[in-house]
Amino acid sequence: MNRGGSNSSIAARNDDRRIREKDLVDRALARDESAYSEIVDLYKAKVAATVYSILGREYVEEISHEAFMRAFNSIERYRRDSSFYTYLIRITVNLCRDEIRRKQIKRIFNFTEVFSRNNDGGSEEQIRTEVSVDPVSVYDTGETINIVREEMDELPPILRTAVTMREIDELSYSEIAKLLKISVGTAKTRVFRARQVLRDKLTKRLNYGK
Amino acid sequence: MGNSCPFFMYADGFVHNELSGDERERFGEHLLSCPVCNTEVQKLESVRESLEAAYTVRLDAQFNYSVLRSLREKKSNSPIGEIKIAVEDILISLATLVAIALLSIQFFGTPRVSSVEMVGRLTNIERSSIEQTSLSNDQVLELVLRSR
Ligand SMILES: [Zn+2]
Repeated sequence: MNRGGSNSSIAARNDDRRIREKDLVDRALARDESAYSEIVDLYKAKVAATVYSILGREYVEEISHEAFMRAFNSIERYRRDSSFYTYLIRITVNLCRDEIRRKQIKRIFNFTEVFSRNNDGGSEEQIRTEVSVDPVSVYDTGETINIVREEMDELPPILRTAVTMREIDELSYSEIAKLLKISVGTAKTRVFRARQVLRDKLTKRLNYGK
Repeated sequence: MGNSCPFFMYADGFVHNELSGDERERFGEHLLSCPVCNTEVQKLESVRESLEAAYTVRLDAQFNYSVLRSLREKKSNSPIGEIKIAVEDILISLATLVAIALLSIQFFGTPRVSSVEMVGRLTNIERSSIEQTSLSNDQVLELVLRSR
């Protein structure tokens, strides 16, 4: 078990990000164009993963692009009561929700679409799978990754969004609650339920855990 | 999932690095002797790692370029920019008008001769026409003769 190593690296990563972010936002506000590019570099992986997880691979470029555009176009109105990262993730999640509403994506009821999305071809070349260093982990296989995606697709969008914000975006429950305009308790319940469903499904399909 | 351990609720915060230094240290020690929490931490880490792995996407430099290009285009066609320019023009025009109005009042608005002085300079006939006093026939005749 990785007892604290990866958490420490998350913390260090987040601290670095916050320090860099402040400087970059200051420069962006002073109309330094290179700062915009650096902000994109800093956060594009998170934004893209969020879109991929909530909506699907085929939306990643378009929605990520729109999220950065909106965040930059309103950067002068961005108040520093939250991090720019949280601000950006909020915009991204809202765009995903709008897209779900607009196109009435009902993946949860549509198994055909689920399988077509997961066999969307081409995407594998663009996906960098971070191989776990844990030798007993079964999460580092391509098969597992596909199963995770399939099971995530079957989650109701509200659970998928909540667990994405917690596990991929690394937001706290209070941040999730604020962004989704729900209570902290509801945010926790949604994340727990999403995890529970994922665990149960993965246990059945991969025969892991207890 | 068993959550019989009173420290079970710390597992999520531990995995997401949200515990204080003291809590983290204590829970870390607790993990060494508690299989329930140990399993929970392991499962939470596994879920997080599997999600990170499943949704990692590489967006190359072309993506940055595309965002910056759109941003430049947006700025050059920005209706906000046009509105700002229009507002500036209106403010400059207003300021000019106010300045002209103030100068006009200064130079032309204030009468150079007071009405009292003006009346003092008039002939009796002119003054009487302003004052609208009623004159007797004799007074009128006298004024006419005098003016000749
Ligand atoms: Zn325990």
